[in-house]
Order: sequence, then C-alpha cells, then structure tokens
Amino acid sequence: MVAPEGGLRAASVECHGVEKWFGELNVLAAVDFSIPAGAFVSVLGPSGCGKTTLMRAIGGLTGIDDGEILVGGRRVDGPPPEAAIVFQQFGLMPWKTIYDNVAFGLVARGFDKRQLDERVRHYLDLVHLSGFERSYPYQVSGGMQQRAGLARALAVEPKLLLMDEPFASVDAMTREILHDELLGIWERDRRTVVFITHSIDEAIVLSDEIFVMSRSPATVVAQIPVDIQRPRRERTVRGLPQFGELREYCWDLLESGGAEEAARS
Amino acid sequence: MTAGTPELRLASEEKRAANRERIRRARTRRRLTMWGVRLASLAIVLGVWQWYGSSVNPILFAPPTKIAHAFVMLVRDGTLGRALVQSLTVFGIGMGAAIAVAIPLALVWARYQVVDWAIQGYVNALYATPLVALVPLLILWFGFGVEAKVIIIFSFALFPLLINTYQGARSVDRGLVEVAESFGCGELATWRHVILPSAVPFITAGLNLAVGRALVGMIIAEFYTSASGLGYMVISAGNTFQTAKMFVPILVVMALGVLLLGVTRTLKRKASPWSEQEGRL
Repeated sequence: MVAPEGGLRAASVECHGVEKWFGELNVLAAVDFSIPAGAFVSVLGPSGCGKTTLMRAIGGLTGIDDGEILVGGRRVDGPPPEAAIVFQQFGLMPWKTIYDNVAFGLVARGFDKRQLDERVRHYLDLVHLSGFERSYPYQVSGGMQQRAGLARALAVEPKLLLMDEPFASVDAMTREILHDELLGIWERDRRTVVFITHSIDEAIVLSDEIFVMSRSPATVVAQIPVDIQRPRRERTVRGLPQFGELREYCWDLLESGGAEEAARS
Repeated sequence: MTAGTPELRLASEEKRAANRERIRRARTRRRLTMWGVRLASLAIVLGVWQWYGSSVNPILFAPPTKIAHAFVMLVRDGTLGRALVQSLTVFGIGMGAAIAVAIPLALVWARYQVVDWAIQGYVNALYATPLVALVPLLILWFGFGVEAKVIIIFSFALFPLLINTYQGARSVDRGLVEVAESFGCGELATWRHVILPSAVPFITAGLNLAVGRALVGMIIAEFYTSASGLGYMVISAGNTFQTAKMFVPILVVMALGVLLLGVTRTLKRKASPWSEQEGRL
C-alpha cells in the first residue's frame, strides 16, 4: 500500500476500515477514505458524532480498535511527526507568552535558538500577532489566542494540519476574518488539511472536498467535491449560486444520515 | 444618544471630564475616610488597652507604654536581636529543608501510581494529626538542641507543601498534556513545559500555608527545647512574671508572621500571574 506522495510540503492521509469503541459504544465504524497530499478536506458532522475522535486517531492521540490509518504512507502509531494540530480550545500554555507558545512545537523538536527565532517571528507576522510576543494568552482575545494556536502549528511546517473545530469558540465576525486568513495562508502553501467542523458554511467556504459523517457509529456517508475556484474569500463564496446548492445538498445528507441535530451555523 | 454634531460631542467630552473628576474626588474621599477610621480604631484599641493595662495587676497584663519601654530595653541589651536571629536561623533551615524534600517527593508521588498507593494513606494521616502531639516524641529522639527544633519546624512545614505540590501536579489540564504530546514532547519535556508550571500556583499556595504552620512549630519547639529564640523569651519572661517583657516577643512573632505571609502572597502573585485570571481562560 504505497501512498501517493504529493509535494514536499504535504502528506496524504488514508483510513482503511477504521473502527473505534469506547466500551460498549461503537464510535467509528468502517471509516474508509483517502485524502491526497495537498488537499483541504472538511469532515462535517453533527456535534458528538465522533469526528473529533477521528481527528485524534489521525493525530495519534488515541488508538483505534481495528483497521489502519496512514499518514504520508506510514502507519500511525503515536503522533506522526508530519502532523500538527490546531485545538478547539486553543491549547495554549497560560504560563508561556504568545512568543513562547508559538515557539513551543519547535522547542519540543529541538530547534536551535536562531533558527527558531526566525521561524517564530515569521509565523507570528503571518497571523498578525507581531507586537504581542510578550503578552500572555489571558491578556489577548479569543481570536488572537487561536491565531497563536494556528501559528504554533504552522511553525513546525507540518505536512498535515489537523484542525479540530478551531473557530467554534470565537465570535462570528472574528471567525469570518480567520477563515479568510486561513484561505490566504493555505492557498500559498497547500499543506494537507483535515478540518473538523459542524458548520456546513465553513466547510463549503474552506474545502476542496467535504466528508459528511453520520451519527453513531460514525462513518463517512458522502464525499462531496467543492468545485469553487480559488483563491476564495468567504464573502464572494457566499454570493455564488453553487454555495446555496451545496448547502442544501449537505443539509439533506445530514438529515437523511440521522443527524437531525446538525448545527445550522 | 448620538453624538453626531461637533457641538454635541464637545458637550459630552466636557461632561466626561467632569465625571472623571467627580469619580477621582470620590475615590480620594473614600481613601481618606478609610485611613481615618483605621487610625481612630487603633487609637481606641491602644487607649482602652492602656487604661485597662494600667488598672489591673501588672503580673496579669501590661499597658502599651510599658511594653514599648520593655521593647527598647530588650533591643538595647541585645536580647531581642539574639533571640530573633536564633529563631530565624532554625526557621530558615527547617523551612528550606521542607521545601527541598517536599517538592521532589511530591513529584515522584504524583508521577508513580505505585508510590501513590504506597504512601497516600500515611501522608494524609500525618497531615490530619495535630503535630503538636508528636513534639515530645521528637524531643525524645533528637534531644533539646538545634536539631530537634529544625526537625519540628520541618515536620510542621512539610505536609502542606507535599500535599499541595502533589495536587498541583495531579490536577494538570489533560488537554495541555495532549498538546505537548501532539508536538512530540517526551515525558521529561512534558513535565518541564506543562506539569511543573501548572503546579506553580499550588506550590506557592502550599508555601503560604507551610510558613504559617512552621511559625507555630518554631514557637512550640522553643517552648520545649534549648534556651534560645523568641519562644524561650516568652516562656522565661512568663516564668518570672515580667508581663511587659513577655509581650515583646509575642508582638515580634506577630509582625514576623504578617511579613512572611505577605512575602509568600506576593510570590504567588508574581510567580503565576495567569492564575489570578483563571476565570477568563
């Protein structure tokens, strides 16, 4: 099973017959898909359907009970060095400054000081956090905390970026700004992204392809390509006729998939 | 509501300045009142004390003027200074030893489940025991010298530090441990970057508790053991019915307690500024 390896900067992701149980509860069943290197894929499903568990499994933070997951063609057994995660609750260390938080992944990987400083400043600049290096997370807004979370993940220059509902806990206006910034960053680098969300709109705006998941046990019920030209911006995408059509289509799928409670956000 | 025209905006700015001024004045008035009340309260307490202290048998009580006089005498002949140095020396050694033992031990305790199972019962039992009950036993074992004092202070300070550090290391946010793991941190790096810093507010809170208890231990140790320190000053003045002299070391210990607790509270605030803001996270 050889994975198609895209550019140097991106890694493919494959799931083969992935199954996961929490005691008696079957969380993931027969999850099969492959994501080519350099694609932006959203995993869309109702809250609590197991999509975060899927992401954690790809990120090596939780084991699976059957099947296998490959990242860049290698079987996942612990956090793959190709991947970096952007967490829903930001996951910043409250005792570290914004700078040290962004540097954290590089420190953990043993970068030397000069190389590290250059990178950290570059990515702080990229997410518009220059000038906040010495602030602590509690001193800045939620949106800025998540920018730091994003910069920390980008700074290790991962071939796979796993994003777990990263914008669910910031306000709507900030979310839209962050969407556009993420689009801008991604369209330049084209790292593989697996983006977990319960927002249909968010999935359409950002992705090349949307994987719709059903509820317990969760499995991928549909893979919907999003043929909207890039570069994209949220407001222009929302104005396109395809946007409404895709939105309806996803919505129908979620409803028929037994996901009555899918969030309409 | 709207400040659309320049005139309106100007008016509201004047109003704002007036408001600021009003608030500033109210705050000053409040602060003056506070200090006024405090001074009046102190004057009343000292006055009543002076009046009552002079009207009863001097063996039982002493007025502030006599205490002040005794204080000056004890400072002049060096008795107070010597006792203070003796007390602070054993306090420092005992406290330092408690910190040096408690923190590493607590980390090992928090890290290894086996250690947890093995020692948790004893630690909790000893923490619950009024350690005063053990003082005669400790004296029996270690004699009346400096060693016994240090060991008594050490044992009074040890448990709050031990238990707080353990709980700090245990109550680390699992999510942050996972963040570290996802970025490839090994166990040592996770301890360094996540578990230890997250335990800091608990350790400083433990330090605050430990200082209070160590002071109690210090005085008790000096009651029972060799003839030195502030505790011994209290006892010897009491035994010779020099009540005014007895108050001096008591007030010094009181001041010492206030000072040391202030230091540890400041340390807590400085060492973990984020923990003051927990509500916002």
